[in-house]
Amino acid sequence: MGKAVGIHLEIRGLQKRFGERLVIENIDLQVREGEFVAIVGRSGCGKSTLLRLIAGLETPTEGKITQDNIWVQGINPAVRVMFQEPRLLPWQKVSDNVALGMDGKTEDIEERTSQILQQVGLEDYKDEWPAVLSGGQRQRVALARALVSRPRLLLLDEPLGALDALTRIEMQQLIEKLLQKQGTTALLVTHDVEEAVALADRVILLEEGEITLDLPIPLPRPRQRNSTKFVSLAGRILDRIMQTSANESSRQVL
Amino acid sequence: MTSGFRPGRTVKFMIPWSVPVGLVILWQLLAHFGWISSRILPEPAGVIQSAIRLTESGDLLRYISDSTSRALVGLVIGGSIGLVLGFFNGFFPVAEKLLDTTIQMLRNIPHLALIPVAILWFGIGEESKLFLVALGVFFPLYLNTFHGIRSVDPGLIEMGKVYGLRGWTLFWKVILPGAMPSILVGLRYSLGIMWLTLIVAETISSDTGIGYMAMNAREFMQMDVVVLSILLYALLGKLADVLAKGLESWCLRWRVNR
Ligand SMILES: Nc1ncnc2c1ncn2[C@@H]1O[C@H](COP(=O)(O)OP(=O)(O)OP(=O)(O)O)[C@@H](O)[C@H]1O
Ligand SMILES: [Mg+2]
Repeated sequence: MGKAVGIHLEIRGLQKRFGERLVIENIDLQVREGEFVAIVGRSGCGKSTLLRLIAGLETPTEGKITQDNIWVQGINPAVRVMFQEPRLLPWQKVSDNVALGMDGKTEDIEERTSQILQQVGLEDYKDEWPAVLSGGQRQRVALARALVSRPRLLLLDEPLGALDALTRIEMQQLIEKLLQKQGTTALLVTHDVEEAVALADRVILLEEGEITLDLPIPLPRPRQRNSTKFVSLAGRILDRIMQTSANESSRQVL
Repeated sequence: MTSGFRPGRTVKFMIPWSVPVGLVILWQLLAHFGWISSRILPEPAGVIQSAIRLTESGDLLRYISDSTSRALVGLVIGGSIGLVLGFFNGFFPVAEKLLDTTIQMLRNIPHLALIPVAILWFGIGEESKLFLVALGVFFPLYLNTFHGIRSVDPGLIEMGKVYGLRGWTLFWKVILPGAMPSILVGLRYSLGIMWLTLIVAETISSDTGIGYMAMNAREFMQMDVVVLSILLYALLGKLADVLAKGLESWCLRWRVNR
């Protein structure tokens, strides 16, 4: 299997308005091929909107998004999105949900589907309807569906939100392993700073529609979560988030 | 169900039928002891005898099959027009703008009010009955298909597009199954209207079918045959409903209760 090459993503002067509300103010961002960028920020700061813009599900009010120097408008077939909700088709069995939109030989699809289901720990559920799964299991199916087709650009919107701590770490390791193997470019939205530092090559902080922090994570993989460097990086990001929100609330008091 | 009375399979099957069967037994007893006059209601035994007689002559089967085929052909014609138009208007807002007001206006005319028109246009032959049945079943199927298409979760459609589904595949995998619950509701409504329309149309003007059998019997004061035809309508209606329910539970088997 040849190594799929990730997309080189470039965003310039991006702005998005919904009516009067300015959600994305002005974003410039470069993501190298194969780079893994985590986006953190408070609820409602525009993280999902940014991913939707990149996926071509929203049209920018201003600015340009290019993939491999090509200005993409509309949905790019090389991109896969894992939405904030699982969005499984209730009328398809788990394995058919995972295989959605894959093309190729049937045996090949079946093999890859059952392999990825095994990796997310749901091989016993492949013939079940999504309705019988728990919330976390549904999320893992959605993750499997996003990963199985080896996209060139992967957009993950809080993929592990509904999982317990243990499964969460397992899934983080799975994402890390698969993306490195496939060379996929990835953007991960998360509210868990530790998750961002564990997975990403770079962590970006989004505040009121602007990037206010862009921090490389130069730690070797696999990352030790209790190493001093790890802890201090995570602490810095967290401090930064808290600091601005503290400023905001003091501003409100004045 | 964890405790208490747990009926077996056959018992479970028999419970819903116990009331109608009980009523028939009561009826037989009342008629037998002369509590109700046979001019008003004949004995069940008499109804059964006339059923046997008509079966032997072959008339009964012919009437049933004529009525059933009218019902089905009318359903297929009216239903498929309703489905197609429902999809069409569901997908294309322009088409909806153009046609929906007209359809809503027509919907408010009771289709049975068109019986005289149908007879003038088509005579008392097959066409007038098919026309009325088709017209009757059209509206519930149209409305529910349209509503079904519009109520498919937009998040799923968006997901489908991101995962590379286009055109027909998007329709087969996402939109049609999403609209299915609503379409099936429309189908069950249509089946009810189908029998109702057919009964009225056959009773008013016909030369074959169950309704004709009833009207013919009335002229000759054969009360047992009149009752037989009413029972037949009840049974056929129930049969249609059972089939529709079966179709529903097969199509919607993904709706698992947990
Ligand atoms: N289609 C839309 N129309 C109007 N406003 C919208 C639309 N989509 C998003 N918004 C607004 O944009 C803002 C950012 O929304 P977004 O979903 O991007 O936030 P988020 O950072 O993903 O938040 P969370 O962490 O809670 O998921 C919100 O105030 C939201 O109300
Ligand atoms: Mg969001």
